[in-house]
Amino acid sequence: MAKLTAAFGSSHSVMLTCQLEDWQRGFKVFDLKGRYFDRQGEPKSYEELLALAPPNAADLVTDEAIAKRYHSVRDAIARMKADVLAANLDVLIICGDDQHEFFSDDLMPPFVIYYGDTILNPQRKPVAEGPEAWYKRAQSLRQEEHGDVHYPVRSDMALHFITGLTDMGFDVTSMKKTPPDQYEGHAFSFIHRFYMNVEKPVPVIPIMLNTYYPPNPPTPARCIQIGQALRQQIESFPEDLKVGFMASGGLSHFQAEEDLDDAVIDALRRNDLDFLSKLSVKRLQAGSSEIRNWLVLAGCVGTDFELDWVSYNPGYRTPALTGTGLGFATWKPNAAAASKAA
Amino acid sequence: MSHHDITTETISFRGAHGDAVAGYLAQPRGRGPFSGVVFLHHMPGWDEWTREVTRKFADHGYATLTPHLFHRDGPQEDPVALAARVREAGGVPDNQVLGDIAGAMAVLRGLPNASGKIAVAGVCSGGRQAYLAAALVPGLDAAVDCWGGRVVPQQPDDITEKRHLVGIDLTDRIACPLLGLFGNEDSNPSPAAVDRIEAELKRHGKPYEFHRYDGAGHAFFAADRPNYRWQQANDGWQKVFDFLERHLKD
Repeated sequence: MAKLTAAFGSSHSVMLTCQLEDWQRGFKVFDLKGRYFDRQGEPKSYEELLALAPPNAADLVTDEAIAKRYHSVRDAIARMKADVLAANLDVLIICGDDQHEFFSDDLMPPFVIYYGDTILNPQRKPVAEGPEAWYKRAQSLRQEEHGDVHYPVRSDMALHFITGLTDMGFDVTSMKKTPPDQYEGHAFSFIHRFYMNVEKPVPVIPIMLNTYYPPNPPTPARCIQIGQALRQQIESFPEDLKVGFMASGGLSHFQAEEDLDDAVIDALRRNDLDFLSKLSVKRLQAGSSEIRNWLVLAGCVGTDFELDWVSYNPGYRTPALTGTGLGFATWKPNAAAASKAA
Repeated sequence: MSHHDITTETISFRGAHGDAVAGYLAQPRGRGPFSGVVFLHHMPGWDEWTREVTRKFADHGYATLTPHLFHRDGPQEDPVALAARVREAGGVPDNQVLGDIAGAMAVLRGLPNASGKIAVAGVCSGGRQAYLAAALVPGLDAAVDCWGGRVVPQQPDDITEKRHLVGIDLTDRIACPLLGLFGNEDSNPSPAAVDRIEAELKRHGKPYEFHRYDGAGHAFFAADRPNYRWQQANDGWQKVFDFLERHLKD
């Protein structure tokens, strides 16, 4: 039977493909036009957020402080790639948000399992010079440098998930092929480009979660239930396969909220599904909504995995403390799982 | 070697961007397991000789699908007349071909008697496309490049908007063993170009084997053309099937 043998959580923020000077300079202009939410879930402008910032905010965004975080994040990406490769997986489930990539307001399913045979990551297009070319260039780095790449999908297992979850009472949206001229979203292309050996990519199962868009993102409790159900379906797949789970997205953004991210990471560390299932949806807005991907992971790993390694940096990039909570984590089976296996 | 009874059919499958693409599928009959070959036709198109080659692979025990790479440009048109028109217009986009190869692989993988192993093989422009696929299409177990021109750009117009990928620059990404067959009287690829490809493969430590034939130029397998060289072609086919046997049947 297939077995969940490893789990990973990773941010996929555009900050990860930006240069240091973009962190130090570009975002200070770029973020002025952003729309944000305060800790009560109320919409705020940049200026309003700036007024709410703590007195030490300026110290958190000096060039030196930003450079330190930038290098820490680069190290975390390298470590994550090494860990994903070392897991020697047969299949990697990737749970990530779809940000108007496959889905839009004409059709917005709460969660989707893709079961085509391949999924396309296209060759990146040239970026026209302009004031925000640095940002678009960073976005494009998630796509392929040379020709289009059609990454393998473990479609038989994906189909097993779709039918299995449906039998369990989940209303799954299934996706067999991509719309014309569309391709995998950034939550998936980032994983392909940054954590896979391009010569021998691990077949994936993409799960697209509507984390962002009202009115129907799954509740935190439902995300955990989806993860738990996926675990059952992994372990009822008849072939002996080493399966990994990757939560792609988060943590808090577009203002980095250390308090929220710390609470989530602590709860993940103690496998506190009750706490995670009661997270306030008012805190899970805009980019912070992507934490939902990590909740699916929490359900999937359950109580027989433990958080093995965490790298967290609050990616502050303006005096209003806009930015992204940049989190990376790996899980391994704990003693309980080991004794069960024995 | 014993031959295989085969069946053939023209199918429609999903290629790049989900487009419907025609393909000629020749399969050995029986329980298998049979490995697959995606065969890439030459610039003169999806012609009769191309279909003969497709059946030849099947006769040797490989389920073989040959996508009609020009199909979108004239689905109802005679493939040979169409090829002349497509050639005039600069061929088909590289990325579209890569997507069609991935789609063809999915068809072969889905056959009930599939072994799961797949090679790509191509002649002429298809040889170059096989080289690109070896670098850019995940999941291949072997690749055969028969006299693919323009892997090393030799003329200014060898690289165009459609034909934008430079094969030799992708050598470090090649992820499967590569067989190359070349005629020493060919001008594209010239022997010097083949030398450069070989040097690049060596530099990156890629598994490959090249065979070069005296007295042969471009397209020396093409039995319906004056370029045909029967002795070199017979030896070349032997090399192809030995190579596939080693990499697809273990």
